[in-house]
Amino acid sequence: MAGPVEILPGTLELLVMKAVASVDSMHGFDILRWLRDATDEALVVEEGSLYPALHRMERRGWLDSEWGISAKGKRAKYYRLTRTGRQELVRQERSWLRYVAIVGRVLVAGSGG
Amino acid sequence: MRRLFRIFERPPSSSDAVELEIRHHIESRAETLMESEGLSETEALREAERRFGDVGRVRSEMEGGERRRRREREHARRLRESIQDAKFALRALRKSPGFAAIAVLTLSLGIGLNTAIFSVVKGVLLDPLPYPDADRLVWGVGSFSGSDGASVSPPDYLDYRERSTSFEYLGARRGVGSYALTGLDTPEIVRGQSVTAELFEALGGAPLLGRTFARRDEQDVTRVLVLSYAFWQSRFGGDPEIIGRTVSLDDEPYEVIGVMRAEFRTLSETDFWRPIPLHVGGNLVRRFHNLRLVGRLRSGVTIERAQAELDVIAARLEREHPESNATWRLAIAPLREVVVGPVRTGLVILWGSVALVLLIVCANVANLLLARGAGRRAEIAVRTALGASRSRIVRLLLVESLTLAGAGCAAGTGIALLGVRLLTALDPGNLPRIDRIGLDGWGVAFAIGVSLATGLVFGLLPALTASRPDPTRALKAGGRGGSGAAGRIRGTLVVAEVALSFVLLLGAGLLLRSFARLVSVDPGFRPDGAIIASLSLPSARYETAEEVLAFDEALRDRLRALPGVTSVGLTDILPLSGNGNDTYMAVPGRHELGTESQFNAQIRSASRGFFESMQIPLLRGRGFIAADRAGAPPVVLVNRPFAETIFPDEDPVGQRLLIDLGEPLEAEIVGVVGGVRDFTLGGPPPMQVYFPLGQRPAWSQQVVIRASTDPAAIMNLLPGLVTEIDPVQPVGSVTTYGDLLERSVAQPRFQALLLGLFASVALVLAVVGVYGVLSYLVAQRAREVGIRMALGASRSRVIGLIVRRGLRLTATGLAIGVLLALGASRFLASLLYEVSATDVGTFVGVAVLLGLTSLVASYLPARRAAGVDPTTTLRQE
Repeated sequence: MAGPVEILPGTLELLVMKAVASVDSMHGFDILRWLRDATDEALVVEEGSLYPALHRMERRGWLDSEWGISAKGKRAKYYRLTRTGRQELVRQERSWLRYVAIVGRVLVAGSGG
Repeated sequence: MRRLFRIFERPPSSSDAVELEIRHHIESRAETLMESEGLSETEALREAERRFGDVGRVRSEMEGGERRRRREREHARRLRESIQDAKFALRALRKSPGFAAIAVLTLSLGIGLNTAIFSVVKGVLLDPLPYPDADRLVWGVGSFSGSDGASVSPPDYLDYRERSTSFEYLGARRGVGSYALTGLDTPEIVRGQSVTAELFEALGGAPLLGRTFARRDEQDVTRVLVLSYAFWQSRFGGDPEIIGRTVSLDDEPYEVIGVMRAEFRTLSETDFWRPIPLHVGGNLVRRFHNLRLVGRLRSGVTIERAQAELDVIAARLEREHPESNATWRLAIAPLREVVVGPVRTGLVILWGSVALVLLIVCANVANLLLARGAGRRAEIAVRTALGASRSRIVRLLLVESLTLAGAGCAAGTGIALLGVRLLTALDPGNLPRIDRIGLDGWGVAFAIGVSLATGLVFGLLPALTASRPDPTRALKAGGRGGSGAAGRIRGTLVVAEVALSFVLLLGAGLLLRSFARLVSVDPGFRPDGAIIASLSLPSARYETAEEVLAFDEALRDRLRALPGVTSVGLTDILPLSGNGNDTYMAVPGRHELGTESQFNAQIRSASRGFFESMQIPLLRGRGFIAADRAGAPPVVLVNRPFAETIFPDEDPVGQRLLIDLGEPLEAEIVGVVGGVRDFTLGGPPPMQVYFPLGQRPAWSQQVVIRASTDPAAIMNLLPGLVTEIDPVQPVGSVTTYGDLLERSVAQPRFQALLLGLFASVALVLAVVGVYGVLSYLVAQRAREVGIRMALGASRSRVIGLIVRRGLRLTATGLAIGVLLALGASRFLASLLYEVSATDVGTFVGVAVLLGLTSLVASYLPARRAAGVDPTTTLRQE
């Protein structure tokens, strides 16, 4: 098996939304852990770029946040998918799947000829 | 369960939040590292930080976004709250429609009056002159020993134009004259102005069609015209082929060479312009001063530098032509000053007065709000107890007053619209560019600005007072108890209102007295019942003096034959018509023409019957007779001021005068007539010398008719009589002398009327203020009054107690008002005629008026208080 892959630009937000959508709400570290588990550590998310992305998505209205106490008793910021965020997630998922399918067809056609 | 905890977690401040979030991540990471890799805590933290990357960069990136987000949220919240507040305010106002109506009415009056006056002030004083680079335009007049504002002679003008380097253009003009326009359907009197080359260029006006005047047009008498746009449109239907067409003016053919653009003016309204033949006849005489100059300074040249250069030229001209130019110079001033200077004081005073009205309005509405605030004490206390902060409550109350101000603004704009229309209809006759005054975007912006400011001014104080934190006391008192501070503030407001009203009433009183003095001035002649008509006989058809005199005789005969006409006279210039003509003269043997000893006096021509028609008394000697005609020995009449100044201890009749009419003329004084007010009704009668019309005929003349019958009938017949004598001769304006005089007092009337209006508004507001405060006081002290009366205080004692309180406030206000008025009096002094700005009678009168009205305003609530049955009030408590 090949080593972990770098995340493609533009897909971080999709993955984050997918992660947050899986549970009621999550803090940043939870999201990273979820992504690592879901990909069997095959995907490397740069930790430094996660938080600015979270804030960006919050400003766009895809995420909502509130402060709370984590399971370990620490203050943490919890993110939740908003209604707009949910719609955005569906949209991005569809377009990603289409994209992958198209790229895949091109690659298959290329190797066949 | 986790969620429950979280609800009570308050969000940290924006930079803390970012810090906390990153910290949480790194600590969580470190914990997992300690578990999975068995690192020590320090090693784990270090490793976690390394994996995170550049913490500082990430943090600053996030903080920027975080701050922006918070700001947006904060704005949204504020907006939500404000809308909530406004909704609440509207609801609260709807619940007390009486209060809202009075407040909005008062405010709209203040805002409306201010906006209307602002529109006039802006149109007249603040808008730039309608010329390109108008700040480079100057006005030039002649000035000689002891006298400013004279005209400039054409040769002097040419020398200044040739020799000075300060000007890009230096043009000159004469006043507007009237001409008979013939050759069209009906003969008509039109207005024309004689101007030099460069005047159009100086004012930056390029022609719409054709060309304007060039220097070659000044060389000889050239009959060419430039038409104004309005005249071209109305008379010639905007004919695009007009250039080159011939027009008949005073029976002379003139060629149209140009049409100016619609917006172009030469500072006066005129139908056309014609060139001045600067190198012909009388225009070559340096002593004949008849031009006013308009110059455009070269860019970068200051007015001081230009004046210094002109003074050097003037000194040289004085050396070259000592007989005519001794002490003469050309004085320049910014054109703007000349146009708006004369009306500035009046307008600024009106503006100041209307601002005072606005202050009184603010005081009054603040008073209303204070009273309302006292009534709402309980409501506010409840809100405070429920956790509303003081700033939130102040904001709520301010939004309420701004809502009031907004309504006042809307209604006030309507009032301003009417006001501006009324003001321009009241046209005092001297406001420049009055046709362009209107309520524009600036006016509306001004109204909105004033409304916001007033909303804050009248709202802030009551809001701060009402929101004073002390909910327990207020709740306990059941909303009935008053606060001493609010009472004091209300008293102060009333004092201020009375003081400001005093200033306004005093100003209005002084202007009204001055106006009354002015219209009761004896002008030296009797204007009422006199009919006047202007005639301009074209010199092309009336070449000689004999022809003019023959026309005059024929007209006089026909007019006198009309039933009811008692006398008919003619003159060249009527008193108080705004025109004049003067020259130098000397008494042979005592003075000498052309030297310092000569003196200056007004000269007029008058026919037989003129003094009777005007009812100017003949004091000594004889009047003019038929024999005083061309060829007979020259005679003149002088007026009383002339006689008293020149011949203080002698009989002027029989004395001789040497008069400079181009050529010196020696004439005998045959009589003395009364003096007349000439240029202004307020000014003293000037020295005058009258020539018989037969010896000094006038082509442009004024007919004065005195009749015992209805003047309208004669006015209607007059044009027909003129047509009988000369079928193509038009008659200019026919009016009564009363109408002419109206115009000469239009400005003082305008000022007195407006200030009177403002003062009346102020008086009403002040009285309402006094009444309101005392009513409130009575309501507050109902219990005290009840106890006093129960203890045996008499009705009159109770009334006295309350009235005294009202009078004390009024007296304080009056005292302050007197001081303010004394301070402001010097501004008003220049507008007053024969009334001192510190006129004691007016001061006392106004004080009595204010005192009496506030006595009534205090008595009414006092009587109400004393009329209450003490048992009822006591039981209520």
